[in-house]
Amino acid sequence: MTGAEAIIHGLEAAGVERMFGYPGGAIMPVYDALHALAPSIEHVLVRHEQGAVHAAQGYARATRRCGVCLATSGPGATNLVTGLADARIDSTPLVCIVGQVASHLLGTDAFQETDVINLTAPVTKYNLQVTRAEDLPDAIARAFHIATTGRPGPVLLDITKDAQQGQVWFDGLPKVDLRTYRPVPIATAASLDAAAELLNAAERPLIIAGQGVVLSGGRAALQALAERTGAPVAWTLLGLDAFPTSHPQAVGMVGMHGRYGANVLTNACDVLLAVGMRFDDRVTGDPKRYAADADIIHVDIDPAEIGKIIPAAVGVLGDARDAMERLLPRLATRTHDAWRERFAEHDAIEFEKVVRHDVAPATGTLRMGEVVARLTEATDGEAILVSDVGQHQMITARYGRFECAHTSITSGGLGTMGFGLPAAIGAALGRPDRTVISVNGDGGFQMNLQELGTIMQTGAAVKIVVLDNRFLGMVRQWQELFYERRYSATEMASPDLVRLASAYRIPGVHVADRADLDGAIEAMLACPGPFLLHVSVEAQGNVFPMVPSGASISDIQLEA
Amino acid sequence: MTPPTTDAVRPLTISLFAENRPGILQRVTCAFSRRTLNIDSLTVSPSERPGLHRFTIAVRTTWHRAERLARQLEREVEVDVAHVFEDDATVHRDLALFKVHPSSLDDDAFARLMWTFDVAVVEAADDQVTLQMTGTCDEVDALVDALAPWGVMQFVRSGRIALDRRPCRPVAVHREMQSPFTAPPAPAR
Repeated sequence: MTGAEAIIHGLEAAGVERMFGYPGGAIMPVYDALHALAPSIEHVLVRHEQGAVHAAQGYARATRRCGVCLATSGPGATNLVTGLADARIDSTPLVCIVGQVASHLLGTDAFQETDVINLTAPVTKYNLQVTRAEDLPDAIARAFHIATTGRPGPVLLDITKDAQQGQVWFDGLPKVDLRTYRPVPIATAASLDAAAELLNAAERPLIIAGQGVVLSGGRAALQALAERTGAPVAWTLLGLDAFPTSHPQAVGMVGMHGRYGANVLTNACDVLLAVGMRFDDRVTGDPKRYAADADIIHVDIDPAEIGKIIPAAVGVLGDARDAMERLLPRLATRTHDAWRERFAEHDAIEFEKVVRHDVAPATGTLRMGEVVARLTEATDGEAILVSDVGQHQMITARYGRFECAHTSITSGGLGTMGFGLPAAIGAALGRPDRTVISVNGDGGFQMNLQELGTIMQTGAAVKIVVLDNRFLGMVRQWQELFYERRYSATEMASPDLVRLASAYRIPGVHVADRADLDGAIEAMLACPGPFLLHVSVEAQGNVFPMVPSGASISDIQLEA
Repeated sequence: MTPPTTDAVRPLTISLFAENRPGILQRVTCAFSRRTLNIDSLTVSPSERPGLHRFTIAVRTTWHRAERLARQLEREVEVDVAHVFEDDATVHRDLALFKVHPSSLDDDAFARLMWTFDVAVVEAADDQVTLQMTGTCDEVDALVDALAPWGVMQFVRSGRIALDRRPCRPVAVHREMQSPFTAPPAPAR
C-alpha cells in the first residue's frame, strides 16, 4: 500500500476515533487515503490549524485519549506551533502529522517548505521527519507511544510527500523499542517510607494536587490519602478537577489568584505533600519565601521537576496514582481539626472581603463571578468547564465547582488566549454525554472565533459563554494596579456576538441585567445543540485575592 | 556525583549519551541556549556503547544549574543519561593545531617552547609549518600565551574530550567506534 494508506491504517491501529485537521498540498495523499479507505476515524475540518491543535488538546483532556491533528506543510505546520507549546507545558498527549515537500526539494525553499523539525523541537516531546514510506509504521507507533506514556506531551511527525506516495508493507503497528526512553519510574520503597515518616509526624500538613493526579487516574487515591492523613487539600490551576471542590478537606486553589487561606497557610504548614505539580512561578510567588517552614515531599513522574524550583526534602519519583496507593498503607490515621480550622477562618475573611461581592452582588453591573457561580450551580459541578485565559479564567477557577474527573480544561502553563473555544469543540465532540461550557473573555473569544464555523458544521454542542467587559481585563487590571491606570491598548470593541453566532446558525442571547441571567442560562442548557450566551459584565472589575508578581504568597492581597 | 560544597560558577563537563540520529544535536543545544548558557565546547563522537554517541560539553556554570540541566537533557526521548563532572573527576584533553611561518622554527626560544609543550610537527612546507599539541585546557591556554612573540598563521583547537574516573568494566570494541568517514555504514536501525 502507499505510505498515506499506511498512515490511515496506522492511526486506526492506534485506536484513533477522531482527528482534527485542515488539508493542503503536501498532505493531500493522506487526505485522499482518508477518503478512499473511509476508515472509522472521523475527521473534523476546522477553520484554522490553531483551531485543530487546540481542539485536539480539548479532546485529549476530556477523554484521556491521544489528540490527533493533521495539517499541511509550511503555514499549516507553523500554525500548530502555539498549540504544541501549550500541550508541551501542560503535558497533553498529542500526535500531529504534517505534510512536507518531497524529499528531493528539502532545503531548497520550495513552495510551502518550512524547517518544521527545527522549528518545533523546543515545543515537542519528540519529533521526527519521515522521508521513506517504509519508515512510517515505526514512526506512527513511536509517536503514539511517546505522546501517551510517562509525562504525556505532543509529538510531531513531518512526512514528506514522496514518503506518503511510496510503497510500504503494513501489517499492524510494530512494537516500539526505545532503549533511551524510560517513561515511568517506579517510586522506591525508601522514598515512600521517608514521605510517610514526615506525614505521620506532621502537625500542619498540606497537600497540593496538580494535573499529575488527573493524568494518572489518581483522584480516588488522592481522596483516600487525604482522608487518612486528615490534611487539607489544595490544588493548582491544572489540578482543579483532581479533588472534589465540595469535599470537607478541600481548601481551594493555590497561586496568584488562588484562595486566601491556601496561599497564606502554605507558608505556615510544616509538611507539604505536592503531587503531580511543578511549582510554577504563578503558584510559588517568590520561591525563596515559599513554604519556608515546611519539609516538602514532591511526587512527580518527571525527574527534571523534582528540585527544579523548590528543594524537596523527599523526592518521590513515580506515577502519582501508584505512589499515592503505595503510600496509603504506610500512613497513620490523623485528624488535623485545629489546623483545618485556620483555613476556615481565612475563608470567612475572604468571603466578607471578596467572595460575597463577586458572586452575590445585590446591585450594580453583572459580575463575572456571579455568572460562573450560576453556571456551576445549574450544572451541579458536573459540566466540563473549558476556560480561556485571563480574568474570566481565574474567576472560573475560583467559583467553578469541579466535582468529578475531567471537568476542567484550561490553558495553564502557556496561557494561550484563543485556546478555549476550539478546546471546547474537541471536548464536546469527545464527550457528547457531558455538558461542555466554553467560558471566554471578549478578547480570547475573538482570537479564534472562526471556529464557530466548525461548530456549525459539526453541530458540536458547545455552550459558549462570553463574559464581555469591553477590555482585555487582566492586562487592564495590571495597568490599574502597577502602571498607574495607563490603559494602553486594552480597551476593546466587540461586534454583536449574538448576531455573529446567528450568522453561523448558532442560537444565542445577550444578557446585561441580573434579572435575565438565570433564564438565559436555563435556555442555554436546555438547548440541545450549541448556544452562545453573551453577558455584559462590569467593565473594570478586578480579580482578588492577588499575589503581586514576585511577592511572597503570604503577602496575598484581598483588595487593591 | 558528589556535589561540591560551594555553588560558584566553575568549569564543568557534561557527558551525555544519545542515539545517533539527526535532530538530537539541536534538542541538546536548545536546552543550553534557552538558558542563555554558552557552550564553551562541544564534541560528539561514537562511544563504547553501540549506536549511542557521547556528547562532551564544556560549560561554565554552577553545579546546581548544571545538574538541573542534566535532568532536563535526560528528559529528551533519545538521550540516555547525562552526567555532570568537575574537572578533577575527569581525564580531559584538548587538541590544538596551528600554523606558523617556517622561520619561527629557526628561533631557539621557539624550539624550547616546542620541547616544553611537546609540540609535534605535522606537516612542513616552504611557506608554512603545521604543528600539533595535546594537553589539558590549561596547557593549551599556556601554549597560546607562549606563542605570543611569534604569532600564528592559523589556529584551531578541538574543544574538550573527557572520560570520567568512575569505576567501569571492559566492553567489546565495535565497528561504530570507527569514523563514519572510513568505516562501512552501520546497518540502519
